Amino acid sequence: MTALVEIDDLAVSFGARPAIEGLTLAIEKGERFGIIGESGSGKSLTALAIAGLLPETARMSGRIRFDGAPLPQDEREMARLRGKRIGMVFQEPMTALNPLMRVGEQIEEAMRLADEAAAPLADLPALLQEVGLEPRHAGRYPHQLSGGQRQRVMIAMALASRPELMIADEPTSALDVITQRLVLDLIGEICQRRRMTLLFISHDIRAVAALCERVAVLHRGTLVELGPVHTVLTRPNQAYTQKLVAATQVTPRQRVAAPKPEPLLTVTHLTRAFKGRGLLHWGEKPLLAVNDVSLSIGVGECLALVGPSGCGKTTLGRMIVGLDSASAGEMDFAGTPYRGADLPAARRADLSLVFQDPFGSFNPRLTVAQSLGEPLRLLPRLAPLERQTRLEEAITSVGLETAMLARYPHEFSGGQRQRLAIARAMVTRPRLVVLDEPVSALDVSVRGDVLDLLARLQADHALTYLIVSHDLDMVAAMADRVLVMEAGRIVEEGTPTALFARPRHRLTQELMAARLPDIVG
Amino acid sequence: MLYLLRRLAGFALTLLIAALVIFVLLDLLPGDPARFILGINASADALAALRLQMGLDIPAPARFGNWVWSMLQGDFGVSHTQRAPVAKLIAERMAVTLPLSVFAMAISMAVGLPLGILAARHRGKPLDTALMVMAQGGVAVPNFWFGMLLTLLFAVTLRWLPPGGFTPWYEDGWLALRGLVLPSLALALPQAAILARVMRTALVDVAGQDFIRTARAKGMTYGEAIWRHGVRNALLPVLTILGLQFAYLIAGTIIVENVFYLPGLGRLIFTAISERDLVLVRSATMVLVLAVSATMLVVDLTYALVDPRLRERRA
Repeated sequence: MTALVEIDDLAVSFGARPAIEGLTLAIEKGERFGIIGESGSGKSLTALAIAGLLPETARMSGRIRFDGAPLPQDEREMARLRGKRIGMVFQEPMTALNPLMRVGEQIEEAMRLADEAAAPLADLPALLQEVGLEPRHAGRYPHQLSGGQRQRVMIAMALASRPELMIADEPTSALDVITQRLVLDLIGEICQRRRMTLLFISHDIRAVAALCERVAVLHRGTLVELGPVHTVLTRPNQAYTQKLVAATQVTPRQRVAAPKPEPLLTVTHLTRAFKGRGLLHWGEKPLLAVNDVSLSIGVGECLALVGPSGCGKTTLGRMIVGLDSASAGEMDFAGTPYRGADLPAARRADLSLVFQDPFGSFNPRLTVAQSLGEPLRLLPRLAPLERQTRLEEAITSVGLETAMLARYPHEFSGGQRQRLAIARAMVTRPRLVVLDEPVSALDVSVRGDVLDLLARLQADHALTYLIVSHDLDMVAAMADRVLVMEAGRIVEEGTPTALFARPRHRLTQELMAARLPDIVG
Repeated sequence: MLYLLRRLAGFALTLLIAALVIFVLLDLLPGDPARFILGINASADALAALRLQMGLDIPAPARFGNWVWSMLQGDFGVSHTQRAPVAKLIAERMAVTLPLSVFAMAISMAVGLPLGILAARHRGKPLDTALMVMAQGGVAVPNFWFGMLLTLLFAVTLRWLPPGGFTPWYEDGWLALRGLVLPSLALALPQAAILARVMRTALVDVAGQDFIRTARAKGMTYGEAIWRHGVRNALLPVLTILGLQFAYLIAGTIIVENVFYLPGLGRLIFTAISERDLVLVRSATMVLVLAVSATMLVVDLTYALVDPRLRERRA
């Protein structure tokens, strides 16, 4: 076999900060090559360097050869090479498509750019069919498609030029489990059928294991390990790879005390309807995001709510913490009945919420102390000294130092920010904490630490958790009880062991089937 | 379609509310409008005659209804100071103000947008800095002073164009057009400078978006990607500014009208206010509201035309 891409001593730096150093690897023609790495490992920059798309501020040295020839220096020639021989799929299919253009036009544009002789290489309907879309989808705008459909459009666009190399950079990280599996299978299938070389970049070891033949592990811009997927992932040589592989196995948390049977929160026949306002929408059928849901959470319990995106789990969580109000039904929190936003402030302090995105959920212009102190407004009679104690107590409880209170969010890593988000939830000394995808935005290696922290806090403060997630492994490790939600309704309930071993409902079965296989040696 | 209907309904409602506010402010305030118009030395007979003519003897709600109804039919009342129908006065002035605004707008777009795109394409480079310093200057220079400079150069020294005044269109279209050149330029300068800055910022913003990277991945150079995918997206924020600028031009050209001695709408209203011509002030204000609202309506509809997400958003 001959190499399609040869990277020789590649170095990329931003100013004085090196991002990639001394990277040498070759991707053979027709193989499926994976690059694994955490944020900041340089895996995406490697892909951008191959495609000649590095940011202007980056300085590059070393050599990259594509099919035996060095990458062209001229911008136009490089662009044409990309257009004709390399297809790319990126992480965020929403922002990666032009919002003002029909997706069909965007795919056709890729065809035209690949072959300026205007004779279309592949016709649009055939291409759409290949990625599992219908011809009518061509007339849609990106916002009218679901996340999975948008990613299929991206794939169609990448295939439009019949490229020799497809670069897929975290193509499924923004999708839910079921869609993720479908898209991964689609990519694998197409590569096989078209005998196309694949460069697959991901932080998800199991996705790489499922799709690739050879893998490179990157850490802080240097190559740690390289070899056949099976060898590298089942018998890793390097300490870093071992740590990474170990982190994908979520170990069950040790429970100290069993949850008490008395309920802390009961939800009865809760419904949330969304409908268009005004006379023009009168008579339209409202969209029931949450449809007649009843549940209860016991004191000290950890309840998980799982389901695909759009099933209403986040809306339910928002109503429970009082960010949204129910259209019908009622909730009762420790003896206080409420419908959502009408929860009294004093009671509101007993409820906290941790968001998924630790980057977007902090105001960048407030210090950590200011951000963490905000929930204390719910407790207006707190003395200033007591306030300070609470802040210090919260930040030390999540394993950070009190000196960090004076800093700003951008000075922290993703894992640290999620710790801060948990500290912010803890500052009012709540009884119930709603965790909305608490670890899915974090690197694998820090997920375990954050889950350990959550388990420890629960034991120390007798907390009750409601976890909203689509990550079944995390749920299996954390939760006492699981509710499966679909289209606003709860369709199945049980302990994680019983539920995941014998799923009864179709959706639970689908969720289980979509799980990527474990790495076994 | 729904969007269009809703916008049109909003437009009509805005006009009605504006009419009510204007009517209440100018008509129902304490004091006798007739005496206000005629002054304290007016004879009792004159006052009575004017009251009758203004319909002050009938109740306010009916008077408001009459006013709105007659405006709908194109009758804006009669000016006391000018002794002429207000509709005719405004139409005459509009023949100056409207072309003036349109010319100024066209010049500012023709200059500002390309310069903004150029600056964004060369972001951080000397050309960008130079253009933005010029734009800063353009914003800072008062347009009446720039107008005077233009007059000095093109009218006094070079004698290419008239220094001021206006020949009506029906007398000599060519002369009328020539009369509007310098004032349009004077009005366009600060607008073009603002537009260039807004366009640059919007485009720099869009250039960092993922879909520009996608376009490059498809095989476009950076420049092609910006041109085919960037500019249209960047025009969205620019549209709002364009609408505001046009509204400002229609209502706010009075200083430049004075510099160039043009009989525009601004000067008509200014004179009407200083001469206490309530009927004229009231109707001319209404015409301005109409112009501004219509501009905003056009902006909204253009938005919907450009952005598919707006067409179906449930308000």
